[in-house]
This record gives sequence, C-alpha cells and structure tokens, in this order.
Amino acid sequence: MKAAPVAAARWRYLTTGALLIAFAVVLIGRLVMLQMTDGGQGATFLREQGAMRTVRTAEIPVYRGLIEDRHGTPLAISSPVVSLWANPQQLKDSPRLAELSSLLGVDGVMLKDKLDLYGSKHFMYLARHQTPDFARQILQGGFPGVRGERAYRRYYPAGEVTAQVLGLTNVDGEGIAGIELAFEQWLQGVPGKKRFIKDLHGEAVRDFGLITKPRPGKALSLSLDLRLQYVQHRELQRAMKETGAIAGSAITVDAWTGEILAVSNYPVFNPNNREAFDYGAARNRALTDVYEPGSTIKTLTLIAALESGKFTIESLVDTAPGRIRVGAKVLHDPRNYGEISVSKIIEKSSQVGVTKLAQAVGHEAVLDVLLRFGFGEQTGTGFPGERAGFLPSMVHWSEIEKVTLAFGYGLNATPIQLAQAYSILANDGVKQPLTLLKQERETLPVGKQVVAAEVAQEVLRVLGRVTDSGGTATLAQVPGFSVGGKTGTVHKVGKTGYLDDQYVALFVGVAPMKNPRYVTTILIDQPRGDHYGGGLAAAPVYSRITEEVLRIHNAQPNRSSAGALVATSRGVQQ
Amino acid sequence: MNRFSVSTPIFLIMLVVFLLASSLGLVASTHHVRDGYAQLQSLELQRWQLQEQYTRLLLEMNTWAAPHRVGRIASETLSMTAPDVSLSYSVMEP
Repeated sequence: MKAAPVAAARWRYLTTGALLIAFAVVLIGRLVMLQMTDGGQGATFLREQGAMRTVRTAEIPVYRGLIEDRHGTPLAISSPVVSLWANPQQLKDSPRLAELSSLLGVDGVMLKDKLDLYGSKHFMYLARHQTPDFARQILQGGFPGVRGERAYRRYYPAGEVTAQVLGLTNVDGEGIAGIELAFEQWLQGVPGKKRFIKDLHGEAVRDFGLITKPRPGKALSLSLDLRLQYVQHRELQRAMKETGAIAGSAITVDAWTGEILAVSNYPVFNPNNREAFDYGAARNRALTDVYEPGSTIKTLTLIAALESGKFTIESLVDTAPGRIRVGAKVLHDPRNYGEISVSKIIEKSSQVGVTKLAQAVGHEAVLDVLLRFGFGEQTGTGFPGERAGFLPSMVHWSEIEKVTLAFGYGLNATPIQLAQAYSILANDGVKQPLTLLKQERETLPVGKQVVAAEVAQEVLRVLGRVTDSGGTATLAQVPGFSVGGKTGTVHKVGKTGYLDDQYVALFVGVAPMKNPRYVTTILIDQPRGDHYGGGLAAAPVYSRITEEVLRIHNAQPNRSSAGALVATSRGVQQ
Repeated sequence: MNRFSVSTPIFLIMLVVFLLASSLGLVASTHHVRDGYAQLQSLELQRWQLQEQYTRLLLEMNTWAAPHRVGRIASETLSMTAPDVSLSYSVMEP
C-alpha cells in the first residue's frame, strides 16, 4: 500500500523538475537571444534604445586659424565665447524671467514672446557669442533650462585698417568675404565629435571617446605689413579730408617678390561692429573696382614706341601747334610745347605727343603691351571679387579709338593692375605674380620676362623725370630719395558721357629710383575744388606713403647733405 | 569523491577570493575612470579658460601696441620726430 504514493510523488517530482528545467532553458534561451543575437528585438535594438536614453553626441568646437601680417602680428583672432541657450519648456514658466531678461538686457515681453513661439521645442538661443565672463554670470544664476555652449568669435585687432582686405566671417564662423573667404579651406578647422553618457540632469558623466578628432584651423601669414597698412590708412583718410573726395584706394607692392605690402580703401567700416555695416564700405576697391586709367597708360605707350625701334627716349617729336585732329575730334595740349623729346612727352603728359607716338606704332602694338602687362586679366591673388578690367577688342577701330587707347581711355583697370604693370618696370621687365601671402625667397615663383630689361630701365629713367621740377608730379617727391611715376586725371563717366566736373585722380609711382623696388598706386575718386588732378590730389599722398615705405624698409637715401660714414672694425668713421 | 575532498573547499575559497578581488578591482577601476574623467573635464575647462585668457591678452597687447597709438605717443607725449634727411648719415661697408 505504501508503494503507490511514492510512485505518484516520483511522477509529480519528475514532471515538476522537467517543467522547471524547460522554463530555465526558455529563460536562458531568451537571455542569449537578447544579449547576443540580433533576432527580433535583440541585442542591437536594446543597445540603441539604451543609448537613446543616455548617450549623446557633442561637437567639440575648434578655433579658426589666426591671420597674421608678414611680421607675425595678429590681424584676425578667434576668441572663445559662450552662446547662451535655453530649453523653452523648462524656462517659459519660470518666475525669474524678468530677472533673466534684465540681466541679458532684452525686453521682458519680447523674451516671453520668443519662449512662447519656441514653446514646443527643446532648444532656443538666448544670446549668441557672449563674453565668457558675462556668460558665467548668467549661468551661475541657475535659471531653469539655461545653458551655455562654447564657440569662437572672430576679432580683428586692427579694426578698419585691415577690414576690406581681411573680409568677414558669418555668425557660424565661416568666411564670407575677403581673405576669410578666399582661404576658407585653410583657415576653417574641422570640429571634433565625441560621445558621452549623460545623467538625469543632462550633464556629462563619462566620455565614450572621440568619433572624429578636432582639427583646428591653420594659421595664415599674409604679405601685408601692418605698419604700412596704418600709414596708408592714415594718409588716405587725410587725403579724403583735404580733397573732399568720395572714395580712394592705395596699394603698395614689392616688385621683386610680387608681395602686396599694404592695400587700403576709403570709405571704411569696423569689422568688430556689425550693427552699422555698410556694404559699399566693405569693398576692397583697389581690387574690385575698375576705372579708366587715363594718362598712367601713356607709360605703356612709351614702351610700345621704344620696342618699335622707331623711337628712343631722346627722339624728337613735333607737337606744334599744341593740338591735333583725329577723326572728328581735336585733342589739345595745355600749351604748345613745340618740338620735344619722347621723354618730355611723358614728363609733360602731352596728348598731342602721345597721339603721334600711337599713330606711328599702331594700336595693335599698344594693345599687345597692355596684354603682356596684365590688363584685361586678373592678377591672380585669388581675392574674391577681383575684377579683370576691360580691354577693347573691336574688329573695326575708328581713328579716335586707336589713339584714346594710348592715353588710357576706352579701357578700364583696377588699381592693383596698375601697380602690377609698374612693378614689371621696377623688376627689370619681369612679371612677378602678385600675391597676398608672405613669400619665402627660396620658394618664390619664377616670373616671366614680358619686356626687355633695357626698355624697362629706359622707361624708369623717364618716370624719374616726371617727378623732377618741370614734370607733372613734383609733389610726389620724397625727401632724400629720387622716385618716379606717372600721374593720371580721368573724367568720370555719367549718364550723358564724360563729365566735365568730376574726375578720378591717379598716381602710380616707383621708389627708390636708385634700386627700384616699391610700387604704389594712389587713386582719389572725385576730388573737389581746384586740386582735382593726379599731380595735385594723388601725388602728395604717394609722397607721404612712400616716405614711410622707404623708412620702414631701411632704404638708403641717395641725397644726404650730412655725408656718408664708412663702417670699420673699430666702429664708424667719417 | 575522495579525490576532491581536500581540494574542493580550497578551490571554492580561491574562487570566492578571486571573485571578491575582481569585484573590488572593478569598483576601483570604475572609480579611477570617474576620477580621470573629472580630471579630464577640469583640464579641458582649464584649457578653455587659458585660451580665453591668451586671446584676451593677445587682443590687449595688439591694442596697446597699435602703430597709430605708438605714433601718437611718440609725437605727442615724447615729442619725437622723424630725423631730417639732411641730418642723417649713410653708413657704408668699406
């Protein structure tokens, strides 16, 4: 009788045991499925769900590359700032809104309206790019949902002095104008990305590691010399005041290396204050605006004349009676110069003389020189918005068109193109590509000989006489140095054609004549009063700027009444 | 059974000791990670603050050393002028 219950108990025991084992197998199986396989809502799904709740990706901001002048002085710096943002859902009902708005200096009602507008979102900027001290003050206030985000802001220590050439960046730190835009790839860094685990309050608890490594922007060394920039800026401002002109440009080039040492324009703007931003003032006019170059082109006509073999600088040309008829037009000189040398034609800027030279060599020869000297094409600086200017290319040329080209009408050019053309003369006829970047002597690009060195030197001799007494540009003289150049006075074009009372005054100069190296173009747009010509409005500006250029570069004066000293091993002896 | 009678308890004790040691090790390394992370964060903050200070000083230096300011002080405060060319000598190598 006792065997039956034992048997029953054994059966129950085995069944229960089997069920328990089956449950355990199912559980282990499910566990393996969830943890190790991807079937159904498996391991990957769970990991993603977990990560969605705790793991966040953050951007690591990087700074934009420093822009510095040729001596390493910073011209554009990225400084750390903090952008304040809020979670509108946490902030909109806070009783401390009034306190926050007064701290931020914004209207309380406007802040409330903005919070209502973004009420359904989790992110809203309160104030971007604030100084770290100010941002800390707000963040320490412990306002609900208010946080800070690190960023960089661009500052330009030299302000308006370098504004147009450096350009600007937008609020996201991307270059939108000038060098900032031209060298965007170089200056712009690549922000890093990291993953981290956040806690309940959204604070980072642990980094998972970098997804991409942050790569800060690279520094850029420009060919500009900040001291010269200041000089140009100061002298241009002064010229604007003295002549009452509406705009102006100045550009100085090192002819031997093709480096642009300084480039300034007027009007100006302050890049550190965008509230009063004026698009007209942001243009780097020396590169982006074209003008008829006028008499400054006569130098190139002289080259064509010398290259033709028909003239030397001392050949005589009869300019009597001081006027000449070309087609239906009569061209005048200020007075009858009579029979004068080719050199004198340029010194006096004689219309009649240049017309005779142009007729003798033909317009094709002049056009060929203009093309070789870089007119009608960009100089290759890569500056955004740089213009190529215009060279006429008609099939049929009228008589007047053939000669006006020779004295700088009927074509247009930028001030930098004029600087480039005269740089070729200062560099023994070699065209060195112009650049805004600092060049090293070893890696200097090889220039192209576009005119014979002898011709370039002859032309420079003539340019030297233009600034001597009796020339058209005596006001361009620099104390202690001999300099050369050519003036230009151009009628501006209005709706009815050339305007009688509005001019552009130009001067392009080379210094020092003993060892020609520095070329400066001065352009004064619409000078008022009697001093509107290139020799009166632009030449004095050239003189003052060049004096500083030569001083800064330690150029040796060629006229010193005090005498010369000879350095010896025991010091300096007279 | 006889074969394991002596070594089994020792083996078990060893396992328990290893388990305890590895648990403590885990706790310690987690602590190190947190510690290290806190240190990383504070160093990152420090780097940020130093960079902040550096750029501020750089800007300040450039403002003080701006050529127009130097020029103004030289001419107005120190009464300096550029030497006249007629008074200057050229020094030449023999």
